[in-house]
Amino acid sequence: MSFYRAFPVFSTAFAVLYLLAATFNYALFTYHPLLHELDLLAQPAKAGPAMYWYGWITTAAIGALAVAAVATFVTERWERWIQWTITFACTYAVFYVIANGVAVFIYDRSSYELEFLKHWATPATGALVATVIASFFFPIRWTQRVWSGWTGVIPLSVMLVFVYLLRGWFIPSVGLILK
Amino acid sequence: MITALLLIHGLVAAALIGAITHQLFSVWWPPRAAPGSFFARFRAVNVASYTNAIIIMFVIETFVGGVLLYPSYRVSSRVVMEQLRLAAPVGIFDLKEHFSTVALGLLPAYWYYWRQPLSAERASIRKFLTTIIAFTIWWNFLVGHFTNNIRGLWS
Repeated sequence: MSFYRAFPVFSTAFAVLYLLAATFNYALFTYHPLLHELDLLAQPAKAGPAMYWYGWITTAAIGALAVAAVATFVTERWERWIQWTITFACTYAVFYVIANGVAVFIYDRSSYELEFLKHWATPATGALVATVIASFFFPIRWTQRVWSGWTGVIPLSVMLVFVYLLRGWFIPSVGLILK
Repeated sequence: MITALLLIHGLVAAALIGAITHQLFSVWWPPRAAPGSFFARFRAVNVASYTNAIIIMFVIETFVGGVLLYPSYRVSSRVVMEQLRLAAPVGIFDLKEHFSTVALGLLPAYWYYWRQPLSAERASIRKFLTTIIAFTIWWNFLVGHFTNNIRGLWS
């Protein structure tokens, strides 16, 4: 793989790693704006709010640089395995969202307690089984070469996940508007 | 100082929005013949040459907004908005922060696919990335203005 091909790899990896860093608070450092202090890793607020955003970006950038650097050494014969893995992971993510939605739907409407439906492992296992079955039906052209469209699809999906994660801020306002 | 930075932020944003909108229109509706109308001329500019300018302006915007202005928003404006229970504006501003970061990370790929000479087989991915970045810039512009002017909106 040429040096320039590392650029799209960096962008794609950055989006995924930033999502992980922001969701699980993997900040490389914390900034306390009122005190003008920097602390290593994610630290609780001292005086005033703590800012993790800079730390998340740094974590994601370092991780994405590492992924992009590795990508420059990957030869063409690995391309179809990389493409297969990305396709598998994206299919799994879609099935996970569907399985989770179905589990919550059934849980909300059942007349007795189905506690296992609320456990994270239920949709995760269901999605894994569905993805393994679906992987036997992946068209060959999906798994031949790394698709350049992932550079757009993955960051766009990350943006949609952020909308979902922040829905708590909007739902009351949308409810008020609809009322 | 904050007012001066906000003005710079707004001015660069206006230039950035102009450049990316030219590029967006051009990739979605490329001019086919000699441009006659205003919209045809708007699309007919050499948009590939805008790429580096867009990248530089986006980085400047992120630096001015994210490094110089964001801390003061975080310790003053946001606290007030939370106290006033303005949940939706806080949420859309949080989305601005995340969308900007994802778009900032997309810039290396955007530069790669807009490198000269432009390859015809990469036209779709160029269109896709330009659309994501254009959406982010417009979102940031509108949300930034909305948040900046929020005190006057319901008074």
